[in-house]
Amino acid sequence: MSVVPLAGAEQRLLHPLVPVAFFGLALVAHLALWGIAVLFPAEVTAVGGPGPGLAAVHTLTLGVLVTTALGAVLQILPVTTQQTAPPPLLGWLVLAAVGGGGVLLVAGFLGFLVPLMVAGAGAAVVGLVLFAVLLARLLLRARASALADTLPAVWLALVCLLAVVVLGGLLAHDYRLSLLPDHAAAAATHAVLAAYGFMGFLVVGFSHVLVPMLAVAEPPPPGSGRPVLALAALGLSLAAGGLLLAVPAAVWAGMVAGFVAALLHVRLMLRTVAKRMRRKLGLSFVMIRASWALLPLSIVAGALVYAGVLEPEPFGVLLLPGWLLTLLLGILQRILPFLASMHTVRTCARPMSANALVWDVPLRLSTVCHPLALGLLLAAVVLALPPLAVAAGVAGAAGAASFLVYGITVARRARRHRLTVGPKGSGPKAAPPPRPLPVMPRPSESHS
Amino acid sequence: MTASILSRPDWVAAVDADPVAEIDVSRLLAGGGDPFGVLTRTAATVEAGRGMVVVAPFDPVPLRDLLTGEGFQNHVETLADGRFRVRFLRAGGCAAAVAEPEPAAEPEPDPQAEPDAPRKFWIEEDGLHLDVRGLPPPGPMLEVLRFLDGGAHAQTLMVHVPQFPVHLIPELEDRGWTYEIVAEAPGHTVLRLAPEGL
Repeated sequence: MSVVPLAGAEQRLLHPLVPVAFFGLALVAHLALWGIAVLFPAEVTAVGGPGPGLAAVHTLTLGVLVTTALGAVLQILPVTTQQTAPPPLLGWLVLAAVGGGGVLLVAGFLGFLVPLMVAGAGAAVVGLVLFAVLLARLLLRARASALADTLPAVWLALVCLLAVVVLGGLLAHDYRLSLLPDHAAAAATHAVLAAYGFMGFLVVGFSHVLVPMLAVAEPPPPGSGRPVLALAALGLSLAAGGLLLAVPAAVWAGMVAGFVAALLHVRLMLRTVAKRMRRKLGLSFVMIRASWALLPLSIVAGALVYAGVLEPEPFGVLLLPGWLLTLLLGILQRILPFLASMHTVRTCARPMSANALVWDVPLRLSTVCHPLALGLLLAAVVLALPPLAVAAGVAGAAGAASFLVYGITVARRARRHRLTVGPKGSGPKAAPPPRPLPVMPRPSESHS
Repeated sequence: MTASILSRPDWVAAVDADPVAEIDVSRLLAGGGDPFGVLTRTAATVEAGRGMVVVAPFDPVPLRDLLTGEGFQNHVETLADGRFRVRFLRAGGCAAAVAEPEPAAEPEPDPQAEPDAPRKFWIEEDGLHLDVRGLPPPGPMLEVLRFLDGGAHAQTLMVHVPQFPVHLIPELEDRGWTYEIVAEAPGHTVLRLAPEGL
C-alpha cells in the first residue's frame, strides 16, 4: 500500500488564522475577478496589457490561484511529510508580500501606473522567494517521506516558480527600462511556466494525496506518476524554451509531450476514483472531473493558438478560469470543512464532523454559477461580445459570493461548535487513555 | 488467494462429514441478522477436535482472523458460483491427529508479518475489536470501511486507530453508523462504532 500520511495531522497544523487568511484572501480575489469582468467587459475579452485585462488575469493568478496554492502547500506539506508547520510569522510575511504585492500590481494594471506595477511585482517577488525558501526547507526535510510522486512534482513546481518570479520581475521592469528583447515572448513564457509549470506540477503532485483522500480511495501505486512528471517536465522545458528563443519545433514537441502527460495524469486520477469507497462523491467531484476535461482541452487550444487558427483569449479562458479555477473550487470546497474539522479535534472538547460544517445551498449555487460564467466568458471571447462578458461577470460574482458565504459558514460553524462544547479537556468527562493491547500472533491470510 | 481442492487438508473431510453447524451467511444477511455475531457465538460452542462450515458471498477474512486467534484452523475454497466455503476446525483434543495439516496446507510465511504483531480482530465483553493502527494512512480508514461495507457485522465495533479519524467520520455518517470516543492517548484512540438506532 502506498502512503498518504495525513494521519496525525492535528499536530502539524498551522495556526488556524493563517490558512483562513490565505483562503479568505483568495475567495475575496475570486469575487473581485468577476467584478472586473462586469466593469471592464471589453478589456477582459482582449489579450494584452497593461490594463483591466491583465488586471483580471493577475487577480485570478496571483490573487486566487497562487494565494490558495501557497496556503494549501504550507498547510498540507507539513502534514503529509509529518513535519512541524512553518512558524505563523513567516506565513503572515508571505501572505502580506504576495497579497499586498498582488493588490498593487492589479491597481497598477487597472490605472496604467507603472510605478505601482513595479512596486507590486517587487513585493510579490519578495513574498514568492520567501515562500520558495520555506518550500525548499520543507522539501529537504521531507526527503525520507514515502511520497514518491508528490515530492518530485513539488520540486519541479519550485523550479518553475523561481523562473516565473524572475520573468515576472523582468516583465514589470520592462515597462520602464526596456530590458527584454521580446516582451510578448517573455510574457507567453511567464504564463506557460506559471500555469502549467508552478500550478501544474503542484496539481499533479498533490493530486496523488488529495484525490484519494477526497474520494476515499487507495492512492495510486508509488511511482505511477513518474511518467507524467517526466513527460510534463520535458514538454514544459521544450515549450518554454521554444517560446523564449523562438524555436517553433521545440514548442510543438513540448505541446505534444504536455498533452500526453495531461492524458496520462487524468487517466491515473480516473482509475483512482473508480476504486473509491466514498459512496457520494458530491459536488466537489463535479468540478474536479470538469477540470480533468479542461486540462487537455486547454493544451489543444494552446496548440491551435500557436498554429494561428485560434485567438489566444479562448485558450486563456480554458486554462485559467477553466482548468485551474474549476479544480481549485472543487478541491477547496472539500478541504475547508476537513481542515476546520481537524482544528476542532485539536481545540474542542469534542470534534465536529466535516459533514456538519458544510452548508450545501451556497455550494450548489457556486456549482451552477461557475460553469455558467465560464461558458458565457468563453462565448464572449469567441464571439467578441462584451455584453456576454458582463453576464459572465454577474454569474461568476454570484458563484464567488456563494463560495465566500460557504467558507464563512464553515469557519462560523467550527467556532460556534467550540463555544458550545468548550475547549479541549473541558468536556464532562475526559476519555481515559486506552489500556495496552495484548500482543498475539497475526494469522495467515489464506488458511492456517 | 484461496486454497485449491488439491491442497485441502485431511481434517476438512472430517468437518464436512460432521460439522457442529453449517451457516449460510447470505441467508443471515437476507434476514437482516448479524452474521458476525451468529458466527462467533456458534464458534464458541464448537468443542476441540470438531468444526463448522461457513458459506459466504465474500471471503470472511475478519472471521478467519478472529477465529484463528481463538485456536481455530481454517480452509477456504471458492465455489463454482463465486461464493466461499470456509471450514473451521478447533484444534486440540482427540482431533489433534485428524487436524494435523499436510505440508502442502501449511500457510506460506508472510514476509511483512511481524512475529509479535498485534491481532487485528478480537472479542471482549464490549464487543468485537478491530485494531488498524500501524497501517500507513489511509489504510486505517479504508480497512474499517471495507469491514463495515462487507455487511457481515451489524453490532457495536470497537475500533483502535492512531488518532481521531477526521476523514472516516463523514463516511461512517453516510453509512448510518454513529461513533463515540471511548479512550484517547497519543498514538491510540478507541472509538465505539454502532449502527444508528442500536
